[in-house]
Amino acid sequence: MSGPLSGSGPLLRVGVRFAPSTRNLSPEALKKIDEAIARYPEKRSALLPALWIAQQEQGYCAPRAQEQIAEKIGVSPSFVASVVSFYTMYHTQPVGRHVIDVCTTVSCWLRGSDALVAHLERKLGIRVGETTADKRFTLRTVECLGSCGTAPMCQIGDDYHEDLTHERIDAVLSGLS
Amino acid sequence: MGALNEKVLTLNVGYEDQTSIDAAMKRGTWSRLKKALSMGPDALVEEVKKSGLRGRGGAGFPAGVKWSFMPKQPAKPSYLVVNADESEPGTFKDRLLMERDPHLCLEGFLIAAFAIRASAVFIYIRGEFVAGWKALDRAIAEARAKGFIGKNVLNSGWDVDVILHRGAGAYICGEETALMESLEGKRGYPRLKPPFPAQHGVYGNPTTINNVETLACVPHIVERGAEWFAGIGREKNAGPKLYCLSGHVKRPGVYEAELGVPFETLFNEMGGGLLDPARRLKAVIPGGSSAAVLLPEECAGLTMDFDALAAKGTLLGSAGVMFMDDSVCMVRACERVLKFYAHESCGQCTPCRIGSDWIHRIVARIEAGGGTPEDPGTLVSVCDGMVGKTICVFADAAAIPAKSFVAKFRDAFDEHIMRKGCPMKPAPAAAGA
Amino acid sequence: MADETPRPADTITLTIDGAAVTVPKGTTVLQAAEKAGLDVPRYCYHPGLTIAGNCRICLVDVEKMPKLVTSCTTLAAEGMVVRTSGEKVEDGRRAVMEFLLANHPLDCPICDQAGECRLQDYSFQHGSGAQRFQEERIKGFKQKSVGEHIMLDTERCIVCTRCVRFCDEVTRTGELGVFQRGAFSYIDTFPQRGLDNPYSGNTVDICPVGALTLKEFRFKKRVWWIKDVPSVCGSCARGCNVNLGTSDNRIYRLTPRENQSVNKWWMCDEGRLAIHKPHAAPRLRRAGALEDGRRVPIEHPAALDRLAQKLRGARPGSVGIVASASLTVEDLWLVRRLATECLKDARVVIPEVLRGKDDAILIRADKTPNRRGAEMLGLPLDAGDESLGALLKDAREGRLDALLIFGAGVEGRIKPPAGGPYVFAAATHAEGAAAEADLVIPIAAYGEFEGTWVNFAGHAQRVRKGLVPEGIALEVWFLVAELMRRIGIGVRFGSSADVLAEVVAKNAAFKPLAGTPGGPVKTLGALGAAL
Repeated sequence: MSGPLSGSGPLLRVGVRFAPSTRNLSPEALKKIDEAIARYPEKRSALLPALWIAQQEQGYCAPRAQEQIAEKIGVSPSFVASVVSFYTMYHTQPVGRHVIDVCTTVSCWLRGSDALVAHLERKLGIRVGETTADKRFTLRTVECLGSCGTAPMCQIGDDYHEDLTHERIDAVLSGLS
Repeated sequence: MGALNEKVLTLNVGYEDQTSIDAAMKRGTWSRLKKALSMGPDALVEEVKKSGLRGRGGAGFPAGVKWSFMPKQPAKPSYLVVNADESEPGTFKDRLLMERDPHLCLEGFLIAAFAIRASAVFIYIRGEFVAGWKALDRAIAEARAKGFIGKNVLNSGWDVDVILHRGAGAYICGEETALMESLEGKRGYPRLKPPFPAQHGVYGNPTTINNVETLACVPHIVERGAEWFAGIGREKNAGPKLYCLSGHVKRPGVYEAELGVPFETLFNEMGGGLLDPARRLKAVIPGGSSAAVLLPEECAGLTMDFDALAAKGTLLGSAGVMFMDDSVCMVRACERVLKFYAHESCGQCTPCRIGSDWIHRIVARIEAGGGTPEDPGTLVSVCDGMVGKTICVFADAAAIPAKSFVAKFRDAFDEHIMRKGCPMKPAPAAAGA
Repeated sequence: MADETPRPADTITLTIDGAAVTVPKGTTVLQAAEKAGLDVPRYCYHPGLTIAGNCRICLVDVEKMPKLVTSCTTLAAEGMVVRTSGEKVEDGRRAVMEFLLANHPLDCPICDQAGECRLQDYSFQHGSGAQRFQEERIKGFKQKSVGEHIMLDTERCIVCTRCVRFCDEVTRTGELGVFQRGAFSYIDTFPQRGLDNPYSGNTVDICPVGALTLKEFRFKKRVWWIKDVPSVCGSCARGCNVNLGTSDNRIYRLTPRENQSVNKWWMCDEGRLAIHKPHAAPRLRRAGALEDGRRVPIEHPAALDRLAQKLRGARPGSVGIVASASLTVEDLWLVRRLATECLKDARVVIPEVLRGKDDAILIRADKTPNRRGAEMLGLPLDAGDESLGALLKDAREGRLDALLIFGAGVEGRIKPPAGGPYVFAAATHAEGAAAEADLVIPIAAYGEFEGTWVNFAGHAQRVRKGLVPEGIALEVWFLVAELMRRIGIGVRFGSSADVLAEVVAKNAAFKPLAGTPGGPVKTLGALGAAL
C-alpha cells in the first residue's frame, strides 16, 4: 500500500493481489503455531503470531498457508486473508531477500527522507514498491517507525538503520547479500 | 511549579547492562514490586490516584481513576493490556524505555496488574519494534525465573502471566479498543463504546489499557510516594515526563523534564534550538501529529502540559514535539501529515474512511498546483463533517490538525491556489503530475 | 425478541420528536423510533444481524450529549429526549451522505438497485444535491462473479458489512471479508473461492446498494415495474414467506418476506431460484385426449365429462389417485371427498419427495410445501414410495381401471404402463405421466393459484396468486369439484375461501382458524397462523 499519492496522479485502484501458492507449511511451523495457540486463552489471538510464523518460513503470507492457519485457528480462510491484508507488515507476494522500509512521515520528511528515497531508487534501479531483478532488495516507503529522533532512517528486516546519510545507507546495503 | 532536578524514568537507560535482571536489580529495579505486593491493590490504586499520574499515551486520563473502574471481585479473569504500539508520528519514548530499561517497564506492568487484580498482562508491541520485543522477551524470561511472574508471585498468593504479542503494522491498533480487537486476532477496528474496557474488554473480560511510559512511572510512585510525584510539575499535571524532540531541532531525542516544562527550556536548553540557526522557526506540532499545529508566537511562554496545551486549542498528546523551520512549505507539511492519516485509517466508518483520504487529496492537489478557490472552504467543511461523527477519534486526529494548518497558514494555501503551484519551489510547479 | 407484552418494570419511556414512547429495556433508540413510526435512515443496521454502527447515517440528537450519536448503538434510557430531525441532525446526515457519494460511481442507469436503493432514497431526502468531491475516484472491481448466483461491484459498495455479517452469523460460512483498509477497503472472497453457501441470495436482499446483485435477475426488469404479491415459497416444507415480484404476467424474482414464525428474514437459494429454472417440457394450454397415439385437444367440460364417464364405469376399489403434496389444503380436501364420497374405496397415495437433509437454518429435506396439510386432512402419507410402488404394481398387473394423477412434481416419476388403466393427469407441463396420459387437463402453476399450505411445523399460510395462466388452467379444487358434480355429488364453491371454510368446519386440526370475523382467510392474513 506504499507509493506516491499525488493529487491527480495515476488511477487509484483497490485490490490485494495474493501470489498463488500450493506449498504447505512445514511440520515445524505447524508445531510453532500450536505452541502459539496454547499461549492464549482464546485460539484466535494466535492468528497474528501464526501469520508471522508463516511469513518467516515462506517469505510471505501465502494463500495455502492461510488456509492451513484458518483451519488450525478455527476461522474461515476469507477471515485470515482479510486480516493479512489489513496489516502492512504482512506480505501478500514474494519480496526480495531484504525489504527496505524507508520512513517518510513528518519528522523523517523534515530531515531528508524524500532525497533518501530518490537516492535508493536511483541506486537500486527500481521504483518504490518494486523488487530488484536479482531479488535482493524490495524498496518500500512506510509511515512513522518511532525513530524520529534519529531521522532519516529505515528498517531492513529486524534492524533499524538510523541517522542515515546516503553514504551510510550505501554501506549498509553493500553488507547485505 | 516543581521542576525536575534528577533523572527518574531515564535514570538507568544509559547502562548497557540494565537490560539484564541482575544488574537492574542491583540498581533497585524489582524492589518496588515487593513493596507493592505488601501494600495491596486498593492502597496502590489510591496512591496512584493521589499522585495525579495522567496517561502518557495521548489522552491524559488519570491512571488511578482508570484503575478504579476495574472490579474488586472479578467474576472472570481481569487483564492488564500494555499499549506498546507507539506509532504516533513524532513519538519514540516508549521505545527507549523498552529497549534500554525493559525491567523498569516490566516491573511497572506487574505492579499495575496487581493493583487491578489482573491475572494476565498482555503486552501489545508494534511489529516494527523488534529490538524492544527482544529486550522484553528476554526480560520476561528472566523475571519468570526469579519468580516475579507466574504462580504465587513472591509468596503473595497472586498468580499472573505475561504474554508478549506483536502487532503487524497498523497505527490504529494504538487505539485501545482497536488494540483489543487486534489482540483477539482480528482486523484492528475500534469498538463501539459503551461498553468500556473495564466492563467488557479483551475476550469480554474486564480490562485496563495503559501506555508504557505511564506504567514506567508506577514503580517510582510506589518507591517515593504519591506526594513526591505530585510535587513535580504543576497541579493536575504531575510527574516526570518524556518529551520527544524531532524535526528541525539541533539535538533531536528523548528528554526527561517535569510535566509542564516551559517551551523555551525544552527547545533551546535541551534541544539546542533550531537545527539551522540561520533560519527561523515557522511551526511547532506539540503532541504528535494528531495535535493542532502552533505558530512560534503561540509557543512563547507556553508550559508543555496537558491543560495548557488544551487551552491553546491543541494537545500534549504523546509529547512528540516536531519543529519546522522556514524552509518548510506548510501546505506540503499539511499534505505529509494527512497522507499519514489517509494511509492509517482503518476504514470502518464512513466519515473517516472517505474523509481522511479526501482531505489528503485536496491538500495534495493544492500543493501540486491544481487547487481552486473553493478548496480551503471545502476542506474545512469536510473536516467538520468528520469530527464528532465517528466510532473513534482518529477522524478528529486527522481533521483538527488539517483545520489548524488552514487556519494558521491560510496565506500559503491561497498562494498555491493563485499561483497554481508551490511558491517555495524554485520555479512554479506544473499542475498535476 | 420475545413477543410477550412486557411488564411495566421491564420498560422505559423516552421522548422522541416530542412524543412519548415506551419500549422494553434493551431497546435501541433506532428501534424505539421505529416503534413510534419514525423511519430513521440506516444502512448497516439489520434486525437479523449484530449491530455494526459503522455507516453513521442513523445519527440522532440526544439532549445532554455533546455529539450526535448513532441511534442503532444507543440504548434507550428512561427520560431520554431524542430528536431525529432538525438542523443538527440534518447536517450530520448530509455530511455522511456526501462521504458515501464521494467515490460512488454514477451507475444508476445500469444498476439493478435503482428504485429500491437506500443511497438514492437518502440522497434525495438528506443529501446536499451537489457534489463537491473533485478528486479522482478510487476504482474497484465491477462485475466480479463471486459465486454461482452473485455478482459483486466493489465501487458501489459502502462497506456496511451486512453481507459479511450475514455469512458469519447466519450461515456461519464466513466467505466474505473486508480487505485492505481505509478508503481502499473492499469486500471480497478468499482468492479462488466463491460465495457458495445455500443462502447466498440473501446477501443481495440485504445489500442496501447495488454492490451485490443476483445474476438471475440482473438487467431483467426495473423494480418500479414490479408488483410484489405476498405469498409463500413452495420448494420445501418450510414455506418461507416471499414476495412474488411480478410484471408482464411473469414472476421476475422471489424475495423473502419477514415472518418471525417461519423464516425470519431469509430464504434459501433453491427456493429463490426455482422460478428461474426453465421446464424442459412445454406448458399445457388445452385439455387433451390421447387418440390413436396422438394428443387431440378437447374442451375441458368435454374432458371432464369423459373422465366422469370412465370413473362411473370403474370397478369398486379399482381407482387409484396420486395427489401431490404441493397441492393446497383446498385441493386435497376435495380430492379426499372425491375418493371417499364418489369413488368407493379409491386408493389415495401422497408421494414423498425427499432430497438431502434438513439443515439448521431453513432448508427441509421434504421438498413439498403441504405434506403436513395432507396429514391434517387425514390423507395417508407415503413413505419411501411404498404405497406408490404398490399402486403402480397393481396398475401394471391390471388391477386398476383408472389412475388419477393430480398435481405438480409427481408426474415425472410415474410411467403409466401400456395397455393398463385409464390414466388422467392434472398437470402444468407435458412431462412424465402428463405426456403419456389418456387425458390431461391443465392446472394452475405456482403464482396462478390461491390456497392454503401447512408447513412442517403446523403453520398454515396462504399461497397467493399474481399471475393469469396462459391457456385454460384450472385450480385443482375447482377441477375436482366439477368432476364430483358430474359423478353425482352436488358441490358448489364460489372460491377457494369457501372450500377452506368447509375444511375448517369439518376438520378438527384446522379449528384454530375458526371463529374469527372475516373468516379463515382473514385469520391467515399475511403471516399465517399456527395450527
